[in-house]
Amino acid sequence: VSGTTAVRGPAALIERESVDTDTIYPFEFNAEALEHGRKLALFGHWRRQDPAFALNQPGADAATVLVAGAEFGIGSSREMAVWALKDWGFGAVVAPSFGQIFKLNCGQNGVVAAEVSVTDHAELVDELRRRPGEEVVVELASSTVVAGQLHIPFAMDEFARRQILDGSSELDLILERADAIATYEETRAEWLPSTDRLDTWSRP
Amino acid sequence: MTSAPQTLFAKLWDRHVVADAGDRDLLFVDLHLIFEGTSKEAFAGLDDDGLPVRRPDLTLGTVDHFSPTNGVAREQVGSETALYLDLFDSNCRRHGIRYFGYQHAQQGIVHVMAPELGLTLPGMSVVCGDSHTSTHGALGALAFGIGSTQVRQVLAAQALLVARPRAMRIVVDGELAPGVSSKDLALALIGELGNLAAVGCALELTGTAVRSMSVESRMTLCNMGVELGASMTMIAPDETVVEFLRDRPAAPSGTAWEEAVRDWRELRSDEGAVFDQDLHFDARTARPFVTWGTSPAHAVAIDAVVPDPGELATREQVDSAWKALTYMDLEPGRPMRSIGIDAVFIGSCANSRIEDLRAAASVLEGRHLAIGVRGFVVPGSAAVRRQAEAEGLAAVFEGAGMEWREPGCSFCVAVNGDTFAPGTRTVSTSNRNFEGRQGALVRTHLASPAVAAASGVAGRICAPDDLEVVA
Repeated sequence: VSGTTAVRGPAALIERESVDTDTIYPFEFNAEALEHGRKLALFGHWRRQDPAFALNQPGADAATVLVAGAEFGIGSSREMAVWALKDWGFGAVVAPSFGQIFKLNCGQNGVVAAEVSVTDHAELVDELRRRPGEEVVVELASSTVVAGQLHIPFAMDEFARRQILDGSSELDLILERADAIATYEETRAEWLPSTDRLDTWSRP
Repeated sequence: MTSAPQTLFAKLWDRHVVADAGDRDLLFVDLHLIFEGTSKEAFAGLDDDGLPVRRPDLTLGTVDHFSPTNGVAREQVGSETALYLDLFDSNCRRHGIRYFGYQHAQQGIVHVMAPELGLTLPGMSVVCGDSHTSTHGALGALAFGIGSTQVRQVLAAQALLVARPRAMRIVVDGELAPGVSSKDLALALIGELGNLAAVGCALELTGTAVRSMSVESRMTLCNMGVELGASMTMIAPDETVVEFLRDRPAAPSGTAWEEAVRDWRELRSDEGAVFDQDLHFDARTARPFVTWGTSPAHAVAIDAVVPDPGELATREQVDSAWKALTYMDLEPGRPMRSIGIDAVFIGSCANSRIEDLRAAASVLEGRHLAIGVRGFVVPGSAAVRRQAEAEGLAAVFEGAGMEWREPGCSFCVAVNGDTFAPGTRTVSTSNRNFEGRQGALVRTHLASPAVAAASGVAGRICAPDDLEVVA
C-alpha cells in the first residue's frame, strides 16, 4: 500500500482554543450520520447555530487542511471526531497542541495532526485571515506547512508519520508479534483475574 | 548491587511490555472493558479482517452510554439505542464475551462496575474505548482510554503499540478541609494547571491528602486526570486499596490473594525515583470549586466571581473565553453564588459511587429542591442503586423531589435520551462542561455531589454551608 506524502488544498480556519471532540462530533447528530455519512455531524451544533462559522463559508466544502486553535480535540476518545473530519475531506489539522487520544486517533486514520509553535500559528492565522481559503500544503517528508510565503516547521508523532508515509497497518505490526504475545501470556501471574473465574455469571 | 529507584509508572509499564517496537512498546492488556458506544465499529473492523477475539476471558462488556435510565422496557427503547444495544448483544454472543446487558443485575457505568466487582486490581493494565478509563488508576492499575481502531486491535491481539509517556507527579500536601471533596481538589488542580498540563505524561498522584482518601474519592480524582490531559493517572495501592478489594467477586482468594497482596506492596515509587515533572499542591488551599465556562479548566472557587477574559494572555485565549461566557450567558465579575440554576444532575463515572450518593443525601436530608428546579440522581451501577436503596438514600432523594434513575452515563454525555432543553442551566457532578455536552445550548457548571445537592435546594450555585440549618 502506498502512502501519502503531502496534504494539499484550501484551508479552513477555526480561531478558537480548546475545541473538544464533543463539539467536533456532537452525538446528537450520530443517528443521521450513521445513515448518511459522518460529515453530517461534523461541528453539527456550530454549523447550525453560527452562519459565520468557518465551515459555513463559501468554498469550505473543498477544504482539506484545518487550522485550529490550541488544545484541539481535547476530551472524549470518540474516534468519530476524526472519521467526520476525514469524511468532510480534511487530511490534516494544524494547531499549536492537541488532545492526546484525538492525536492518536488521527494517526490511526491517516490524518496528519501537525503541531506548530504558538508564534508560527499566529502568523499562519494572520495569513489565512488575509487570504481566506488559501491553498496550504502540509508536507510530510520535510515536516513543513506552506501557505503563501510562509514556511512553517511542524512536529508530529514519528510513528504516525511513518504509518501515513508508507500506508502500513498498525494491526499488522501487532499481529506480526503474535508469538511474543503468546510467550508473554505464559508468564502472567496466577492471581490475575479472568471473567471465566466468575462462574456465577451466565455466559450469554 | 541495588537497581536505580523506579517510579510506580515505570514498574507498571515494564511488567506489561511484550516487545520493544522502536518508538512504541507492545503492551499486553490484562483487562479490556467494552461497551456499546465505541465497540460497534471495532467489531465491524474485526469482521472485515476475519479475525476472532483473542482473549474473550480477559474482556468484559456492559452497556452504559446508550442505556436508558428511565426504566423503559427493552422493547420500547428508541431506534438508535436499540441499534447499539442489539449490535452489542450479538457481537458479544458471537465472540463468547461475557457482558451485562440492559437491566442486568450487574450492569453499570463501565468504570464503576469493574472496580466494584474486584476485576480491576493493582498492577494490571486496563484499557477501554473511553477517555475516563483513567479512573481505574485509583487502584494502582495502568489504565488508559483508547479509540475504536485500538479497541479493534485489542480484540484481535490483546496487545497495543503505545509510546511510553513521560513520568509526572503531583504531590498534594496537607489535608483537605472538611466539606472539600476530591472533586473539588480535581477542579482546583485543573483550574490552576489547565486542560493539557499533563499531556504526554503518566501522572502519579500522591501526598497526604491523596493517601488519606477512600478508594471512591481516589477514583474521582483519577477520573478527572484525563481533563488535565494525562495519558494515564495512577495512585500507589496501599492498605486502603487492599481492604477495598478483599472478598470482591472477581478478586483472587486464598493463596492467590496472598501472592497478589505481596506483589502489590512493591507497587510504589521508590525513594529517590526521578520524575520528568514534579509538582506540589497545597490541599489546604482547596475549597469547593465550580466551573464558569465550557472546559473543565474554567474552574474557580465557589466564593469567587466569574473571571475577566481581558486578563488572559493571547488574542485567541481572550476570544475563546468571551465565547465561553457568551455561551454560558454570564458576565465577568458576577459572583458564582449569585447564578440561578434550573437543574441538578448527580451521577457519571466521576461521581456516582455510593460515597457520592451519601454526600449528596446528607445535604438533601430534610430538604427539598427549590421551586422550578429539576433534579436527577443516576447511580453508577445496579449494585450502587441497590445499596443506596438499602441505606435509605433513594428515599432521601425522592423526598427532596429528585428523580431516582436506573444506572448509566445519562446526562453526562446525553446520548441515551437524557438531555436537558436548550438554555437549561445545570449544576452537574459529571466531568465535562463542553458546549452541548448535556444537550444543545445547555449550560453546565461542574461541581461535587455536595455542592450540586446544595445548589438544587437553593436554586442557585452554593455550598452546603450556605444553606439554612434544617430545623
